[in-house]
Amino acid sequence: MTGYVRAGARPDFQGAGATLGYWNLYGRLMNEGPYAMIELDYDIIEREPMSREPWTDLHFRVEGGAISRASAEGSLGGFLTSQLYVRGGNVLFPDVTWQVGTLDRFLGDLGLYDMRPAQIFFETVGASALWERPRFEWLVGFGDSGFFVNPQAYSTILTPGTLFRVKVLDQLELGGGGMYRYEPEGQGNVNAPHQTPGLDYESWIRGEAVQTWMQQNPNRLIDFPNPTSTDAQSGKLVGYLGTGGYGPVIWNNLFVSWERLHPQTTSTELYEGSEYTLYVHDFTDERTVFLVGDELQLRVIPGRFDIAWGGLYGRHKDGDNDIAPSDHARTYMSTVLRGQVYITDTVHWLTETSIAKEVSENGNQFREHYDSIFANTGGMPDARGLENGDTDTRYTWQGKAGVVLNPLGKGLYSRPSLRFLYGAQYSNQNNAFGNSFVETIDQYNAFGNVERHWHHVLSLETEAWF
Amino acid sequence: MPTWNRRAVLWGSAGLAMVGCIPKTPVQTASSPTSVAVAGVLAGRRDTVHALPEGVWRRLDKALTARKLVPSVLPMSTVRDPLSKRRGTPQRLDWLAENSGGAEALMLVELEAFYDTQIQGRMRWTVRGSLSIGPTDAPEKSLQRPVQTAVFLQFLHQAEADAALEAATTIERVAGRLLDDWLRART
Repeated sequence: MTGYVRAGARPDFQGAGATLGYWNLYGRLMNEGPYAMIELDYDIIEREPMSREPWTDLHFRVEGGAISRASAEGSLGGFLTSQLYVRGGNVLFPDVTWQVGTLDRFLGDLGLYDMRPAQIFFETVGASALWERPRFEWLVGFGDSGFFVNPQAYSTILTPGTLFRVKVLDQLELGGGGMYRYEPEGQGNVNAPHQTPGLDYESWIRGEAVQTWMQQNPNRLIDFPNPTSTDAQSGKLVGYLGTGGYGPVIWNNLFVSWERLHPQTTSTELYEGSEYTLYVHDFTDERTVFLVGDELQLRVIPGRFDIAWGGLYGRHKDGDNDIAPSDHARTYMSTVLRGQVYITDTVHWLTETSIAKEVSENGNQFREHYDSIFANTGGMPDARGLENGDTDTRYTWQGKAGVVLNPLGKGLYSRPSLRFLYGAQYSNQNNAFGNSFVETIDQYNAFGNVERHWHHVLSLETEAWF
Repeated sequence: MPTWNRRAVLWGSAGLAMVGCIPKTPVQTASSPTSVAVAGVLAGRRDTVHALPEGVWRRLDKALTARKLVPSVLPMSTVRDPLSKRRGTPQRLDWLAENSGGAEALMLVELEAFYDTQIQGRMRWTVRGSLSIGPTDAPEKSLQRPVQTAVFLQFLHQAEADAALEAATTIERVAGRLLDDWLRART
């Protein structure tokens, strides 16, 4: 059995949610909630050393964030069966591992962000073959991503892909690959991609597409347009450059990825008591995500002081939407620096800081002040506007420090880790962290509003792979 | 926001300084310096055994010398072929006894490392094997302790040696317990 856990208490001086900021753009530390993962790894035929005999094993993984007392829910219903696969090695060909089941694979990890840009087949179930040589590996796979992309409305999404990694020198490696998703046109299949014709994009964004159509076509409810079928395509390209093992450089991972997100199939609207299902392929088929991430690990004073320095740039574009702020139309960048001093083998001092900038491409998305609901572009209220708040840019600074107990010894990523940390955040956005604060400035609001840009959190937490 | 004062800094510094005073468990020691011929091998996907990483040797050396055991490590060039051919622990111990160079005791460290799976951004490896120590004139009476642990490497390019190095703390502790048991029985 293997797995991963992180859990702990996050006393929050502002009585908000149990994370310092909104997400791990500011560094994963103190910005992620509890999580547990258990994987059963059963060796049906154990691998023999120095042998090319066939071997086979089975993996079954369950994971989720529902930890009673550390999160709002403790139900096992909050856990997901995320991986199930069987592998067989040295069958048919030596050094080739066949895998059938889920196929998730990545070329590495940005540990400071807990992100894996060079990852493919995360959503795919199928079959793959991995050919491994000492300086080279090549994965080819094919499967179906339909159940993950639309769990309640399955439609086949054929997904071929490949991934390779080459060790050019002991200090330099390259990798890359990609995957393509194709959802065929399926006439008569309500779950297949379609587009409801005659809808207005802005009305759809407002949730008023049906109302607008009815107003433009009075007394013609029966003529509400039927969806027309189409196919849907998406895909992802990834690249990787790794270097290290010289001077103070332990290793540097540089990842780049470009993804065209798979189009959304449907959305629903209520109009005069009836629910309408709208097919929205053409409104959602131009969403792309470009990511570049880097993480450098340095041994500054061997055995005494190490640092990890990361950077992340993301650009989300939506070719269909140039009118409303959205997570699909934004740019963000951040840098995170973590230093760890080894007081003894097992007692360390951790310090981390980060700065981040997030820009909404389609106008204001953030509230700098509690009463900014009255403000919009130019400081003017606009009740029918699509914007939210009074600024299109969010700046965030975070600092974290404290004692870390690492029973297995030195290392920035030595685990298990028992951490006792204090964290502070400053953001130009008001209350820029998960919270249950009352936002309305209605005169009958009994709780009042607060203007708060600082956030302070203690963390008594643990993290372990086992 | 709370402000730091001199007293808080002093208490904090004192608390950190005290972690250096944590008592350590005493180890068993030999009554007099005892020479030990040591061989260590790491196996994996390759056709032959390869050397234990330097960091593992350092930990083993620390465990031995702390107990008044004087290690003499057989070089990899000497052990590679014979220990690649002999894969059972008894055969390897016999070979080591014959090539111990007059040492009073012998110690054999046999490790295997295999990549398992990717999990939460890490690469899980299993490091398993056994450590043996015994008298050179009766290798069949050697004492053994198994070692099996999972380690989680950060990078895909890391291989068997990195996995063994990541397990060095566990290996050192297993070695320490094995040596304590052996020495305790001798006194």
